[in-house]
Amino acid sequence: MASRRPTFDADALPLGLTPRTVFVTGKGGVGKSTVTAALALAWRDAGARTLIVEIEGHASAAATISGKRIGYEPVPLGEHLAAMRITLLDALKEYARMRIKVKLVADRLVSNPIIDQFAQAAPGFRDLLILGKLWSLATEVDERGQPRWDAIIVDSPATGHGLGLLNMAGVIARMFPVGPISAEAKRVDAFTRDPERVGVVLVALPEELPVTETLELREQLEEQGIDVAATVLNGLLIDRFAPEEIDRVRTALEAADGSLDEAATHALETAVWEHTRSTDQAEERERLDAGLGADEAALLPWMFSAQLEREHVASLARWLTSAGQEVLLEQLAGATDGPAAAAAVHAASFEEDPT
Amino acid sequence: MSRSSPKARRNDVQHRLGDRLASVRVLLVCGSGGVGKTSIAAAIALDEAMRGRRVCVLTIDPARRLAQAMGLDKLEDRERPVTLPDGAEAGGSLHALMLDPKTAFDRLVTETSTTDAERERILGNRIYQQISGASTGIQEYMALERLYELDRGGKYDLIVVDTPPASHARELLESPKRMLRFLEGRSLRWFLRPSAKVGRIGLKALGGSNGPIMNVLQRITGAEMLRDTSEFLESLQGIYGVVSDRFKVVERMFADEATGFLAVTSPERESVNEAVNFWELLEARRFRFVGTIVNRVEPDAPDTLSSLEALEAIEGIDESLAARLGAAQVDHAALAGRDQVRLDELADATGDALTVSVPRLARMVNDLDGLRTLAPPLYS
Repeated sequence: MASRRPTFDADALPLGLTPRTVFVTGKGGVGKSTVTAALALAWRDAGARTLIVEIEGHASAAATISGKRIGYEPVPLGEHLAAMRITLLDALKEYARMRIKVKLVADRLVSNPIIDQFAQAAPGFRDLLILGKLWSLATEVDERGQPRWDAIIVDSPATGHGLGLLNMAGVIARMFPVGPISAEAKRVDAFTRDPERVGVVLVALPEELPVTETLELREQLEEQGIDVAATVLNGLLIDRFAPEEIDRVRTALEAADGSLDEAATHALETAVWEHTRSTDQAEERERLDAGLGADEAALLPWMFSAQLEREHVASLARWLTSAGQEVLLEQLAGATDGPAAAAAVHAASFEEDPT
Repeated sequence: MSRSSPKARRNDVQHRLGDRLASVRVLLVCGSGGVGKTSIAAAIALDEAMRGRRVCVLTIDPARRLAQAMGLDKLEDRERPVTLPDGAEAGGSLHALMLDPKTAFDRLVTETSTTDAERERILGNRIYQQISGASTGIQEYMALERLYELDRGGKYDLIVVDTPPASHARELLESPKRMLRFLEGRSLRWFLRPSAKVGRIGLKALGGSNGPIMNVLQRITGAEMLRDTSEFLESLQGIYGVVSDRFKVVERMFADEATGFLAVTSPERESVNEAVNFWELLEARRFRFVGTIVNRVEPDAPDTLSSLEALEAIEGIDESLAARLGAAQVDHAALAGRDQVRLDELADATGDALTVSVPRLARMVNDLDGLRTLAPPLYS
């Protein structure tokens, strides 16, 4: 199957990853949807036919790229880019139709309250339906027999629920050793554990709890035999100030002893805050990299913007390529020698702000 | 509406969080993940304990966040006493508990099953073993089960519950109803019928209007799954009555005057929208909404930012440093402006409800002293 896939320009690939099915997950509030959207734009820009998948009841990645309403059928958001949302009822309908063939009977079955209750109450059935749908999307071919999608990016539930989702096929296969559900569960389980086709992208913030949770989740995924394709450290504040400069700012604040006006005091205090914060972030980044061993985390800068617009996501997509990462690393390193360079990253992230 | 009115309203009601909590006996703290919900729940629990109340805080989140925040290295399924800092009023105490759904479920089975044989049959069931630890829905049921037990124990003046993320807050609110519907519904009764030894006698032999539906269901899932599920549900038969009674109590507890719901959000738009949706949900049910805590708010910037000349004039600040100080101020003022707009929108959208803003801190809260620093903005 891999041989039929087109080859992609390695330099343009985000996170150095060839297109596949990825689950983007992490602690709540770390920017999973933003990273999902940025990764989608980046893969699309590298020439991959890309599908963003949202799951009913969870955050919406597609909204950061387009205002289009999306549903169970993929909606085009531009060339080689589409988005869809997996809803339980539609997935159940599709599955029932697949097994029953007679559409009318299948639909009546799904709308029966007993079946609805069964789907809600049967352990893990919902997660299996979602995974089953993803498997069928990943194996779908077009009229020329080519895979319809090169890249499928799933904006997944946060850590605990995300891990539950990825494990569920295996859990069900163990619960019901025989029968059609079991066969489905085994097939889907083999798919989620195939590192050639499926991986997880972990998103973290440079803060204590998100880093800890990311490292724990990574270990759990490895134990389950699920491939962690990449780890992304999001929201990195790039220090505009050298420690020695912050000493001078602190001295000025103390010497002024209230004699500075409100605006100047705010400017100085803001600088101290930003420096303290980015120093802590740097420690967390080190801790994450130490935990990851040979696999370094990819970095994304904090965006000073009132609202994340498509332009911001596009610039995040560029940061995700190897060229983008190189520039970012240079500027991070530059920030310790001469902080002037850091200002450039902030300027770049602010450049396209519509406000 | 002008910008000043909601702002004024906010200041007006800000001091009332303490007043509003005084009559609350069960506080459910809700919000999307990563907004600092656990810290806020713990900070409120700690502060109420410092004021002399007997408080227990229950976290549902699978991560060990509360444990870290409370300075405990291990939270079990049992309540653990937390040593209060100096200065607590007499009579005040704090206990903390992290939900372990598997242990809680096992204990529920042990406590409610009537015979040893019944207990072993449930605990040994293959489906039970897989779902009691892995299924995400179980968490919510067990949290409510735990809340029921804490409340019934009568040892506390206030129970603070740190709930799962907001997309699940709705599910949490509905879970007593959903559980009761399932326990009293047709589908469970069907599975429990003695004739439902699916796959042995064949579904066509089953009478009633559900025969054909079940026949088709069997074609989808296979006879084995239906039979196994049937056996599993049957094994639990002895505890349905108890569970059903408890969930009726929890359902009444949600509607009780002494039960309050508190939303926690970040100033991000999605998070604020979720808080507004949550408020609407509670209004519709006439549940008591205490208010919204907006966490990690960028502090107000002055109306006029500093000029580069003014910064350069400060002793020790050169031209290059002044330029970057100015740029940082502009960036942060933009964030402050955004957060202020969100706070106003939120206050406008949630009527009389309380909106409290907590400024972002340079460092993360991870101990009792850190939690104490959250109290002044929460209660000011």
